[in-house]
Amino acid sequence: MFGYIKPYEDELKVKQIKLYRSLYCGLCRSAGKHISLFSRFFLSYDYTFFAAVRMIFEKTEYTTESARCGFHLFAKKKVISDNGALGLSSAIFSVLTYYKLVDNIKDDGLVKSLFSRLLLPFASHMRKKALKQGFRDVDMIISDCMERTALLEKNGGSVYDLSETFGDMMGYLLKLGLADEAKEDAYTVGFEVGRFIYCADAADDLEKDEKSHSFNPYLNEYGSSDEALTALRKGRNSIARGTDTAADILMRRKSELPASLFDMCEIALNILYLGCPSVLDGILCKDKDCDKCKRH
Amino acid sequence: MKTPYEILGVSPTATDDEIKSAYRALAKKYHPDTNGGSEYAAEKMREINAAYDKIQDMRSGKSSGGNYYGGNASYGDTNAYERMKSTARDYLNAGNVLGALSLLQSIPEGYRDAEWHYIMGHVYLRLNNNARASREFGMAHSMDPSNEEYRTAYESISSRSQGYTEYTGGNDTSFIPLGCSCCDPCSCLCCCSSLYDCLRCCF
Repeated sequence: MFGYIKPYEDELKVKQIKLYRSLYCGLCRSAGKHISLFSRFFLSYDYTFFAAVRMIFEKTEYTTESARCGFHLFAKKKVISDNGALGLSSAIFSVLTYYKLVDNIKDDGLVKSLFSRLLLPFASHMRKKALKQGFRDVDMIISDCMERTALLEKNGGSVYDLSETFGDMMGYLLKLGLADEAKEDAYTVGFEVGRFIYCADAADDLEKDEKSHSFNPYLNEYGSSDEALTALRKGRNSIARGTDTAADILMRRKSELPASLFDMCEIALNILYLGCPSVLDGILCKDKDCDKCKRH
Repeated sequence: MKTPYEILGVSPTATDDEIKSAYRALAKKYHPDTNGGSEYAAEKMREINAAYDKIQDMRSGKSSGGNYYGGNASYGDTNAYERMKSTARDYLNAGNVLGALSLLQSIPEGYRDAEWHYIMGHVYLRLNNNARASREFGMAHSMDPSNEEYRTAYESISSRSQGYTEYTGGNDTSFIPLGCSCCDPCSCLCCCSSLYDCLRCCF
């Protein structure tokens, strides 16, 4: 479910790559401070994107500081200082990790879910810390989505229903607490990105789910992973279009941003216009010798 | 954009009792008394109330576009379904997107031909759901490949904007064309300068 929202680094400026990494470091520190030290192991770059977009919609004038990294003890890193967007992103990945583990335990057998069972107590603690921080709405939004997804999967729901459910969750999370004028745009960005994540994850897991006879909405629709991949390659544009829509919204908002957020906006635009389609192409390519797809 | 039926989690052909029951269950879950201060619960409550009111209005014929066909799906008459599709087109033209959607969804699966998928594609376009619109136009085109209208609609929605290949990191005047770097003139000058200094030293 993670690792599909990343930039196309070849087209980023060096200063933007550094800013992106400092945002990740800032998110890691925020999670360590507000949730738990252990929560940092669950962090992925997808949440960095979420934090960046939140900062764009909130028009956060962020600051940076120099800090020592827990994972790179001898290096001092430039990190973005703690702020509301980082706090929210930390809470989201903590609660989402908990519910994903619960979902894995429910779906998989005892042996397969052993790793998830071992991690569950830590994730449960993370969720409790997030709730204590006042993020009850985050918990409600995510648990609603998980409930609806489980019901849809049980009834053989289509990829449209499932991806829109996940998109709906991301939309609500992204617009939480924003000013009214930003809510609709924030929801649309979250919705399209959430849809993309779900579709990309389902496409990526096609062969694995076919072997293990696990639920996959594309397998349900097309019967086999080969048929599904052929259809997805033809319909690639309809999956990629969503991230274009989200990018267009951010592009419109760019002119309203303070200059300090331009680079942050460029990073988000790069991810949506270039990074996500590149990831999708890599998933659909499946040719390990391909030199065009950045994924291989 | 979600339809009122999707918000309540019911089918458009659900009975009034089923809709009321779904509404009550959701209202109990998101009621402000049980979720004091929750922004999400308050928003869901507003959505649910608006969805329930909209369905009530549609079913009592108060909303624009008039009659509600949902629940009367047992026509068993092909002509009736043709009339329903025609009425759905009229609803769409009049701006009653949800009425058109409700009408189309009440036509049984076995009677959903290419035209049905085509009109459905337009409904989803109006609901800003391009993914589903693309699928419906695709279905219409594959069911009736000779129809120009369906083919045009499918090709139009399938052609992607050039955003991916043309976006090169923003409207930045310092973008460098391939094979050249803005540093090249400076580094060239530096090299020349160093070479000149070297040559001066030698001679």
